[in-house]
This record gives sequence, C-alpha cells and structure tokens, in this order.
Amino acid sequence: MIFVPVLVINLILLVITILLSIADRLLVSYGECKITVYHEGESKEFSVDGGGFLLSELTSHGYNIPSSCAGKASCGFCKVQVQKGGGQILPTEEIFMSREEKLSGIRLSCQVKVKNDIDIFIPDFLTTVRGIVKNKTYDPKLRWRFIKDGQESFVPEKRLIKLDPRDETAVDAILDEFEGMRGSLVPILQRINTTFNYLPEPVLWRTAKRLHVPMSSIYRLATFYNAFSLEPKGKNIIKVCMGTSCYVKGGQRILDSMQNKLGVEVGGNTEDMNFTLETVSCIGCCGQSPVISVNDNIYGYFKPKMIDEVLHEYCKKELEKSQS
Amino acid sequence: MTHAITIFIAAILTHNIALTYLLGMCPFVSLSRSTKTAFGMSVAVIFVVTLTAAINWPIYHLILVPTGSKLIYYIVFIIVIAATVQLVEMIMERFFPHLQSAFGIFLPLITVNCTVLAVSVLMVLRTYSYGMTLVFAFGSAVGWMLAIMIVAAINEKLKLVGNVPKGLQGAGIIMIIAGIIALAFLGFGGMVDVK
Repeated sequence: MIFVPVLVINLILLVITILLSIADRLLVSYGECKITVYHEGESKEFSVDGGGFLLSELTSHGYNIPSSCAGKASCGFCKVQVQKGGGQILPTEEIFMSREEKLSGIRLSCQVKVKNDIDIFIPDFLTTVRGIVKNKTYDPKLRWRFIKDGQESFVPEKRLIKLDPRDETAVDAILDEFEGMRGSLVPILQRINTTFNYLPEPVLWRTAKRLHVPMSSIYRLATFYNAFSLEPKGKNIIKVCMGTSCYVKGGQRILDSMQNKLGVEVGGNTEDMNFTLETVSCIGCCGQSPVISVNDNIYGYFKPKMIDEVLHEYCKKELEKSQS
Repeated sequence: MTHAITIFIAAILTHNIALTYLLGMCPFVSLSRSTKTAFGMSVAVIFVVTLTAAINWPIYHLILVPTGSKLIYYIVFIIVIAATVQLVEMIMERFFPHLQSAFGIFLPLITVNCTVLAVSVLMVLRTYSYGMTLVFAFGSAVGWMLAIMIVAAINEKLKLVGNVPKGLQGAGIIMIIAGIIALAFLGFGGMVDVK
C-alpha cells in the first residue's frame, strides 16, 4: 500500500513528460534558420535549428558575447544590433537601453529567440579591447592619450581667474550674513548682483566653495533669471521699452538715437562703464508710452531730445559719487 | 451563489493573498517599479493561478484521493504548476506572439511563485468545490493584482517627488508602502466572514 503514492507520482511525471515532449516537438521547432553576422568588417553565415536564444547560438558558433547572468536579462552586457528579423523589443530589455540604442535596434541577445532568418551586427570595440589585452599591445604609459581622427587631442587646462582680495572680503561679508540659512542662494546672488553689477565668475566659484553647492546649480540659477548677468554691466542700466504701445509711439526712434548718443549696440556697455543699454518688452507703464527706465526710475512720454538731459543727470551723479 | 460572492470579495479584500498572507513577495517587490510591468505581471498571475487551480482540483480529487496518496499533493502540485506554465508559454509563443510580448515574458517568473502554489494548497485545506475553487483562485489573483497595482502606482508618484532616502530606495520603500497598504486592508476585516 505504501508504494501507491510512489506509483502515482511516477505516473503523473510520466504523463507530464510525454505531454511536454510532444509539445516541444510540435510547437517549438521553427525549422532551419539562417543567422548572418557582420563582425569586424566581414559577414559570416550559419544555419541553426530555430527555437533557441540568439546568445547561446552565437556562443556555440565561436562569437564571445559578454554575459554574466547567462541569459536572465539581468546583467545587460550581451547587446548586439539586430538588423533584421528579431521581432519587437521586450519590456525586460528596455531598462538596459537608452533611447538611442532602442532606435538603432540594439537588443539583448539573450532575449532574442531565433524564429526566422536574422541579420545581426556585433560591435567591434569588444574584440578590439580583448585583442589589446591578449596581444599585450597595451602600453600603460599611454593611458590618458587618445588618438582621435589621427590627431592627438588633449584637454585644455582650466584657466582660473584669481579673485581680487577686495572683492573677496565683499563676497565673504555677503556670505557671512546668510550663514546657516536655507534657500538663500537667490538672495545671495541678488546681493552679489547689486554689489558688483553683474555676477563675476571668480566670485561665483568662491560662493560655490563656501556654500558647498556645485557650481552647476549656481550657473543654472544665474542663467535662468533675467536679472542676473554673467557679463560685466555698467553702473546705470538704461532700458528702452519696445512693448507694443511704446513701439507704436516711437520706441524704435528712441532706441536708435540712444545707440547713436552712447555709441553702443543693444546689450553693450559704454567705454567708461557708466551706462548699459538694453531693451525691455514691457514695464507696465503703457499709459505713459513711450517709456524708458534708468535703474529704477521711469521716464514717461519720452522724446529723443530728452536723452541728453537724462544722460547728463546720471553722469553728474557718478561724478559726485567719485569725488566724495 | 451568495457563498461564491462572499469568497470572491474575501479573496480580494479581507484575505488578500499579497497583503494578508504575504505571499508572492518576490515579484511583488521586483516588479512594482512601474504600473506597466506590474499590470503585465498581474495579468499573467491571474491567468496562471486560475488555470493551475482548475487543473489541480481534478488531479487531487480524482487521482490522489482515490489512490490514498493525499500526502504527496505538495509535490504533485508543484510539478503540475511548472509543467502548465511551460506548456502555456510554448503555446503562447507559437500562436499568440502579441500576447507573448505583452505578458508572456513574465510567465517563467511565475513558475516558482508561491501565490500559485498557495491557492492550490488553500483550496485543498478549505475543501472547496470545483466552482468555488475557480472563484477563489480568480479572486485571489485579482486581489494580488489590486495590491501590486496600488503599490506600483504609489511608487511611480514617489519617483516624481524623488526625495526617498538613499538607504530606502528600491525594495525598502516598497516594503514600507506594502506594510501601510496592508494596515489599510485590515480595515476590511469585519466586512465578510470566511473561514
């Protein structure tokens, strides 16, 4: 009686084995499939029985595709370019692929089933590296030298602009003020902007170092906001409004005469660094158009002949400042 | 009929196979990164769980019980499940390549999934009839789907916020989410009474 379970389990196993064998014979055979491999500038063809995975077929025909997970789609090393007959890319492969790779038909060879004729391309660099290591053509002295397009390329040394000691104390004073405060990068940049009139690069490096913030995030802020400029600016910023109503009322004429008078283009500084000329799309004073603004002061109903008067006023102010 | 509905609701909510019995945790953790893969996996689970329960019930009641070899039902179930999954995969690959690329690739992962075995074993322990077994198996799988979809959706939203601590990223945060969801599912406790 004790042998009945043994008999039963053997019977079940037998039935299942027969069933699976029949299914294997009927379902999995795809006939003979031709695989064409382009590798190192030459193409080779061989025929295999369909139904297997591309990785194992390639390995058994002498192509060493790197793989550390042996076909479980978890290492992502066995990439080849399938040019014809590989079918759709599977969700299991997608996590290993960049957008570019997906578009160019790169597949994990362990996930591609050989069901029909397949054309593949194996990238050369793998065998190149293997050849270098195998033939000892690798020279450790040449470690950092890469020859590109027949010319030796080199990375230019970074030019660091020294920070003026006077500027350094000014920056440190601003930074000390914000010590220990969260989210203070924008206020700090604003203060630097009002102190220096622009954001000098060495000052930003100093800020990055003191705040332990990467330069990239400072650069991101500095280039995003219109109020910040990485180029030097004059002491007074003249903005000519080119909004719809100001333009209609002669904004372009004002801008032209302003350019003539100052001798600079839009966005430029005068030689004495007293003025910077800019345009603005609207400053919300359409009722007084045409309008220009100098620093925070707004001059409405502006006419080209008023330019001299305004410029003179600010030149006088600067003169007084420098004398006192 | 009412009994069947009770079993169905219980299998989804109060006796959720993932959140109450903590079964099928391996694919639960690894595939709940995105709702797309979670959905593919859960469709495969629904299919396989219902199918294997439907096959295992007659094998148990028509072969194992009459021959007095009840004690080997664990082994038999495992063999049957593995063979069924393999067979289904072969059939699907040959005749339904679209289905295969949608959720067929998850099938090999289910071969060793304890959810599938647990449903077959529970149907024996709870002495369900054939109809009840089907309802119970389908309900359990839908419950598993519900659980993994909830966790995957929360996980996707979390990715947008992106301030999960480094040590908790991946499996850690999924365990915590699953725990909280399981607590929430405890709230269904008194709703249906099933042994």
